[in-house]
Amino acid sequence: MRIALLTEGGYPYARGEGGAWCDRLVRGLPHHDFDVYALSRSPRTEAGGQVAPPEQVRRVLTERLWGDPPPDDAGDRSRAARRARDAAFRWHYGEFTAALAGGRDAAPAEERAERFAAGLYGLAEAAAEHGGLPRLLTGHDALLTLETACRAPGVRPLLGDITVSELLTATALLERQLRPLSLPWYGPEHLGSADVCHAVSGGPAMLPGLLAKRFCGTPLMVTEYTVRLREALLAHRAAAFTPAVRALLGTYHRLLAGEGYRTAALVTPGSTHVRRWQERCGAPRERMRTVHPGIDATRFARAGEAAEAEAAAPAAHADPTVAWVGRAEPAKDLIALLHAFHAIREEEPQARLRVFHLRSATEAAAAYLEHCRTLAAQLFPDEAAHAHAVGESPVSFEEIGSPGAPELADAYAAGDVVVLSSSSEGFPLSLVEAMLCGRPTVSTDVGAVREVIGGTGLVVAPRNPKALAEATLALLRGPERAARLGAAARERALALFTVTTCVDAFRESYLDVVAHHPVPREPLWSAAGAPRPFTSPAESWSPTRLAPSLLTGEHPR
Amino acid sequence: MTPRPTTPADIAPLHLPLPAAADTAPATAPEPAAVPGAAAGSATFAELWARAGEALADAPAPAPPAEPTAGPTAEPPAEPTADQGPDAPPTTTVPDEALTDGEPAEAEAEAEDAGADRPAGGDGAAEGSSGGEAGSPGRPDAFAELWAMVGDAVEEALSENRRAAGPDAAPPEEPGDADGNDQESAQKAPPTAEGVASGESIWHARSHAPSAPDARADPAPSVPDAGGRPAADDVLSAEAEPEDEVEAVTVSVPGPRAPGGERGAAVMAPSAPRGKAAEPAGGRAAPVRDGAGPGERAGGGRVRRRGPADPVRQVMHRHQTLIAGAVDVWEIAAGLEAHGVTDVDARRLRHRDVFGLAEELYARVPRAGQIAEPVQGEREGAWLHPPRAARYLLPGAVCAVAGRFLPAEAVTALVLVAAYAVLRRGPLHAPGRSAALWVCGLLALTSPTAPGLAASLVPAAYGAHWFAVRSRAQLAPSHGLDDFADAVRPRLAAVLAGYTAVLAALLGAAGPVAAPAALGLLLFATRLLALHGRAATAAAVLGAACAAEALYRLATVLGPGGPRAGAHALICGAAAAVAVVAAFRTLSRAAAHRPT
Repeated sequence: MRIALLTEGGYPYARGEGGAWCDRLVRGLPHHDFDVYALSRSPRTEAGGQVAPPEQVRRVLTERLWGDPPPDDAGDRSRAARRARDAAFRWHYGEFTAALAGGRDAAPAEERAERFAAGLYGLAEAAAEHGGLPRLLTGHDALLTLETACRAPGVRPLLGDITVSELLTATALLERQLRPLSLPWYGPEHLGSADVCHAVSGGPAMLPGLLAKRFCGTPLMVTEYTVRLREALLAHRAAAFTPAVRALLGTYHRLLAGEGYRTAALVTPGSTHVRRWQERCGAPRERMRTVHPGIDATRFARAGEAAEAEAAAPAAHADPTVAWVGRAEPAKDLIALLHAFHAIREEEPQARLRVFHLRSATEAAAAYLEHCRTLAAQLFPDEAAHAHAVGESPVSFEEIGSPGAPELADAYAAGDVVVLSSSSEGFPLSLVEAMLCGRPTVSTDVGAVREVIGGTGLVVAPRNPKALAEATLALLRGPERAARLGAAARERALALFTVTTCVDAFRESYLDVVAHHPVPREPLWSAAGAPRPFTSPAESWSPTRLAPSLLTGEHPR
Repeated sequence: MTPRPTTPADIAPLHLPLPAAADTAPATAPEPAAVPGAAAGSATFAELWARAGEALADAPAPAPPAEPTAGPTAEPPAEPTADQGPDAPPTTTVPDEALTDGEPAEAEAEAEDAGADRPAGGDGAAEGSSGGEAGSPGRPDAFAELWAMVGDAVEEALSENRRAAGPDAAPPEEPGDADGNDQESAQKAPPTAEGVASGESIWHARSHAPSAPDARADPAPSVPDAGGRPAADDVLSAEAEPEDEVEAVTVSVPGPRAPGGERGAAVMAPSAPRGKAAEPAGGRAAPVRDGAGPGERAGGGRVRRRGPADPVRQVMHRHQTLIAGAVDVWEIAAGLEAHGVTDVDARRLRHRDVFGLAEELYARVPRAGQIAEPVQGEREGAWLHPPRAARYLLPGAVCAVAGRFLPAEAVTALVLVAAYAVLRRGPLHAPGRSAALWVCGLLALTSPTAPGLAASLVPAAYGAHWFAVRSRAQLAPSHGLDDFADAVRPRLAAVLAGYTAVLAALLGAAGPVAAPAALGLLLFATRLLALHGRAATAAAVLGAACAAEALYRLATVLGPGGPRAGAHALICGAAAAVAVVAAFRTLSRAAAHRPT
């Protein structure tokens, strides 16, 4: 089977987000062929270079969604051809912007979505036929069309008062987002040759998939581990765009997401947390299937087995240790953890807290870590066993990789209880790692935590150090219960959150999608467009290669 | 009828023991009598009482209507909290599904209270208490244990309470408490529509009595302004016997202090030693404490008043900047989720999920500054720095110097070389090779010798820079594309006219003016076109002029007559006119002035 992976700021780039699970997916399915079509989000993404893909990845094609538009390959066009092109552009772009701006005639949601889709596909067809779309998108016609759409009756006053500089900004940003329309990827030798398009994130990554479905009939599958729409909205706010520009861009992302979910043959959210947004954007429930992300369990195998052995004879330690592992950021709310530990120490004077943090990525994160260290120094003075001993603070901040915790598994194993005190979280991978190490967890009820924990750990409300302290104390004082929870957590993690589970789920999904939505091309479909049933047997979709490779003479796997 | 609670937590019955009827009967006996004798707020107290009775009547557990009269019985605090029985560890407020491992203790009720941004539903008190009201009577031993826990909590709370601070002190600082919204709660003086106002304790006045022990020791109703609370006091003191530290600890002093009794009796906290100062809850006024938002966790039977009657207001205030600056509901939802507001919190605020909450917030918070004001940035200097313009003197100098010694074609060639070197950077630099080629061709054909033309590069540079800067400055203040075009056209006309005038002045002294001036205007206009992205148009015009010149040359060579005087001027003038018309049409569009 040939799978086209559509990524945006992700997989082949070393600095891409979410590239790790893509790599695991690709390596976990060695019998399929992959083509990677990557869109890069910013110069920072490209600056990090690309990871070396395995041999299943046949080719990697890239395109930029930033920077100046590509130079116009304006060949000699006759005046009539240019007129036709401009007229088609004005029409389709008019539909597109009318959907973006809203208004009386585009008010109902379905109509708006239809107009958006019509405009988008019309622009794509015009680009394929005439070319020169980037220049048109930043030209005078585009500005005029957008202004007319914004001043149409029934449009909200925020857009009605749009200024010229905002128009320029909006058209420039939309041109960047619509760059995939001008790419030559939608022919029979690129996306048309794939059996299924797998968009590994929502948002702009879905756009090539939509066009492939439109032009070549390739089915689309969308996987989302973080809500791309939400990230886009927050990024626009952080980039300090003016409100009118944010309104237009936000609507674009939302309508694109909705169109993508509706067109997709299968939508796989990573957790219920993501699923809510997808359903809100219009994803149909009957085509959704939750596939949790999987992480490599072998790194934690030793720690997990040690925890299982300990569970046979649970005993409270003399110095009960609470561990926190992760990246120190304000969203992780380490301050609440420190306050909770303060309360814990009043009850359990021998308790210790070990904070294992990864290296800070940004200045703000480093400053926050320093702030936490200061607070810990104020709250927890050094203590010593007796008058002649060197004291140390019960709270220690260690970086993962230092001798105290050379590996992540060691960090988790160092604690009797692992605590997650975030005030906001997406999918808590650190919790999954703690579960794999067989550690009982106490976490705050944010994001997908409840779904991940599922009863094998304690969940408290966020920003509540007292509750956190009481829950942790209960576990520290009850080693049997802690051991039970830890064992249950490890079993749950091994059942749900391993790479093999995730990869198997995707393999089944691929087969499912391909079986129900075959691409209409020879020999399955005749040249006239009529399907030819029974042309190719079911084994043709098998992931194994049934015949030995002629070049290398290897045996079929 | 107060609305029913919707979450499981809300309707979980509170199996808290009520004191035996015998205990409470005498205590409650004087109560009804005291009610009519209460001070000004007592009329509302009766209303509260009736409401409490109703709520209790609907409570899931079979609680007799007299239940509410049982003094400081275990009533859940105002919030829709899932209170477990007294045998369970402290009650929790997080809904059941949040509790993992079946341990109710884990999801602490304090969580709800502490979160100022997760206030209880406005009329949560009614539901919560009605749900919790159904204390099962007749478990005095458990109740005593309960009271012991309550006492511990109150003791702890007392240590931080601002009892000593007097009536107007700020709300006590308690660990884990979120920002106190007590001030807000203070504002809801009269009973709100739900009847239960911001849960000021009926013992509120007592807390401001000289000392708590005195108040406690004095069961008589003579609390200074607790007009209608004698019975309550009795009840409390009667119940408080086993307890050492039941104190009427008011959490906050409201500004407008309503006459006592009017604030519904703070709901007696259920078992949970909330560890916070809680106001002693009058068992009667069950639905009471609703408004008190989240903070009210009754530790030891006292409910703390924390929060306004409208809990969504706290969320509004906390995320004020986010909501006021958002353009639509989706942005608010995204921002709330990034700040950690979850569906659980939204459900507590009576919405199905965060999106519903975002819709309400979007509707309620007025938009602030939605129209972007044109940013008055630093005004870019419209006039070139003389040092930068100095390089443009080179071609003129070359022309003047070489014109003495060399023939016209050589001079032209030298001037072209100099101009190429000079135009590679600066305000006159425009990408596009074809236009430059046509310029070379044109100059070769016309061979102008006037040094004024070469020297006119300087005013050309000035003019082009001024036009670009001034046009970009018009982008922000313009309200539409037509506005912008109307603002740019006069500037374009001024630039073209100014350049022509300067060129004519430079040429005026030496020789014919018309032909070089027309040529100069043509070159300048096409340069402007190329600078603002219309290189194709510029190249087309120049090419046409070149072709016309070449044809003319051919005609003069082959044809009968000699070169006519005004021919060059005519050709160049026509081309210049075309270029100027094209410039007016395309350079007045906003697309030509994208800020880079």
